[in-house]
Amino acid sequence: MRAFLLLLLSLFLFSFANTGSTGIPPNESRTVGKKLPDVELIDYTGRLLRLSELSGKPVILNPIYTHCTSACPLMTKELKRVLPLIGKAGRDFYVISLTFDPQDGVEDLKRFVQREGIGEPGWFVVKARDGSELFKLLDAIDFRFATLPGREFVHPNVLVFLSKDMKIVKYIYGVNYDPLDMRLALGMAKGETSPLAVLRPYLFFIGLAGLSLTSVLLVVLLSKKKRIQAKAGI
Amino acid sequence: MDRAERNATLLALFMLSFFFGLVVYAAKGLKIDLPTCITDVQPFKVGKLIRHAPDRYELHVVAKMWFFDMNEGQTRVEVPRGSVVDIYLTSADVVHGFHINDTNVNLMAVPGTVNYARVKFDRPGTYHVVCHEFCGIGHQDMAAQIVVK
Repeated sequence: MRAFLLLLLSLFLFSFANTGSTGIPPNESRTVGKKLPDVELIDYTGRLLRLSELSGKPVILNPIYTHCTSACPLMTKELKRVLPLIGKAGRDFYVISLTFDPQDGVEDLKRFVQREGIGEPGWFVVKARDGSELFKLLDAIDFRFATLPGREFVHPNVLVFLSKDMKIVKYIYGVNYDPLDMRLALGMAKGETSPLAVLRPYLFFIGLAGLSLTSVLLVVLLSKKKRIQAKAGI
Repeated sequence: MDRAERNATLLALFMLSFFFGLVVYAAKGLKIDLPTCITDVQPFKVGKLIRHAPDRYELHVVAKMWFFDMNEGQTRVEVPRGSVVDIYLTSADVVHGFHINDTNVNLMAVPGTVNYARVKFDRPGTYHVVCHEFCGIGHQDMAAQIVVK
């Protein structure tokens, strides 16, 4: 009994171990599997780019803002460390660093690229063409941010994996990325499905049905036992 | 266990799970957003209406005894019709309530934390905001307005 309680306690503590996200996290149940709208983006050279131009390869989308001094540079550095371990940007997948600050301009993107030293051909540092395009995209991935004084933002730290046809496949949270997690997510984005991934949307209902059936069974069993005891005159 | 007792228990269990299933389905199907509490930021001190795009706003509200600071001391803000407004709410002193009439926004302003809800204003008109958490002698006068044009 004591061991069981200890196990429960450790599980309980572990549930806080990897929350990894700040602000308001995206509601994945509303977005995973949906196709992103074909929005117009502008990269750091000022070139207009449609999101659909990147279809055909999995895409890793990372929302940031350019003058961030905390989480965004950390995520970018971590991507630079982990991405070579899982493939080559431009050949195996594309990476998009999207600024969600509506006031960011092309100059800000350029500064970000120089500061972070991003040079891979398949890594796009972009802004949306205008506010409405930006929020079309942010709403599609359910990304929400809050403005702080001094144009700082509270936002979830998240990578969004998109499939070849621009459907949302997987979210990875935090500023530290495990190469194994990244490889699995990339595999999902390439269309390699695992049975667990197929079952996932139904897990809750399977659990619910299991719980109700178990309770019903328990009640039936208990009532049977009592009746037998009553018959025997105990 | 008596037969009637067993039947009642079974019926109760069935109805509990049935309605719980319905609640979950409604939350998913009707896309009902639950208010979220953000505890890992320093709450803001002044109210502000921030415009990100023509139809995207952030409304920072500071509730204090006994008014809502919606935009640098004002208790009345205007947004265009069809706007999506992200409402962030905190309190400078005690616990206050924040209910926007004709919407399902019903938040609690708790000192030290920020509460969040998103609302889309489709119909034009004046939306009255009231404090619905007794907060002292001036509670009944604590109100604000969101005007949708």
